Amino acid sequence: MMISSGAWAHPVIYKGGTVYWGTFMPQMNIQRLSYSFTSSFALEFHTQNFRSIDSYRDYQLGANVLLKKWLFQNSQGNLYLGGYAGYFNSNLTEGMAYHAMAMGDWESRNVYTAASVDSYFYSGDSAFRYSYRLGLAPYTADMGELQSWLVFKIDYFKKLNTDLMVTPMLRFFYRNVLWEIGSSLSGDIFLTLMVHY
Amino acid sequence: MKKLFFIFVILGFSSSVVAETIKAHVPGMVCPLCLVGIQKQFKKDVEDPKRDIVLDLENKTVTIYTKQNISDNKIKKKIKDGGYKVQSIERIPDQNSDSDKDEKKNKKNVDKEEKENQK
Repeated sequence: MMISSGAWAHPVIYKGGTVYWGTFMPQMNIQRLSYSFTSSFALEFHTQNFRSIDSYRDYQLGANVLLKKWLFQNSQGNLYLGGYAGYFNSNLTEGMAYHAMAMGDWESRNVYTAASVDSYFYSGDSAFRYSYRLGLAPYTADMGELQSWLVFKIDYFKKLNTDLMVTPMLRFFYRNVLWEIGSSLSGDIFLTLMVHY
Repeated sequence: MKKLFFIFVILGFSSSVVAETIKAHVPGMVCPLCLVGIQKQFKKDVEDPKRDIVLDLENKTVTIYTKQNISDNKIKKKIKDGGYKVQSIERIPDQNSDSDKDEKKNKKNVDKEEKENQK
């Protein structure tokens, strides 16, 4: 049973920016589409499918807010909140579903780290997901060059009472496209595609 | 009459904006993917966005080659919309811009006309 967090990404980007990102694993997939009205506020539509939780699937609309941004000379940090509501169905039931998210990150050109908490409320039930990521870039790339990262991701999904899941992966981005490929220690393949435009 | 014509031409050119290089220092520029936003904000202010907007992650500068008159406040607003904050702005007028060349050429023509009239 494998549930992991989505791709690391800024939930709010630049004014007028649209982001698509999809995360695909054997037991889950998450697809998101967001539009940033300003550099601190975005609307997001997403659909999440957790096959191992009674084939849970939701369709939600919500908002992401950049609460605080720290800009240092050679690094930056960000703090985000998100809230979403919509419809869910599973093998057992269906109804309204709510999702809240808090995320913080810090990054330089060689190191990035991000932590997030996601909480899900549906049909009188709740679930919590905790994620942490650490990324290291073996070289620094400039604009228009391929950027590569080695990333270690740790997830804990409280609902499933699973052990900590560690997923090493490779992350690349080139111009406005990011893709990640990895495999958990138990052998589940992890793929992510993200496009900014 | 000719003299008047050339004066109007000169006035016309002087009211058009002189090309310049704007260099903004923007701390925290670390992620190439995020900087697509800064490129997008200045897209309409330059002829060729790929050539005329240079993002230097090493020195944390955004350099824009433009013939548009962009005020400091507008630059700060655009970079803010791109998700960053400007620390300082430098402006370097382009000595070799087309409008400068035209202006110099027209000035020469007026001088020539004046000399001919004096004769």
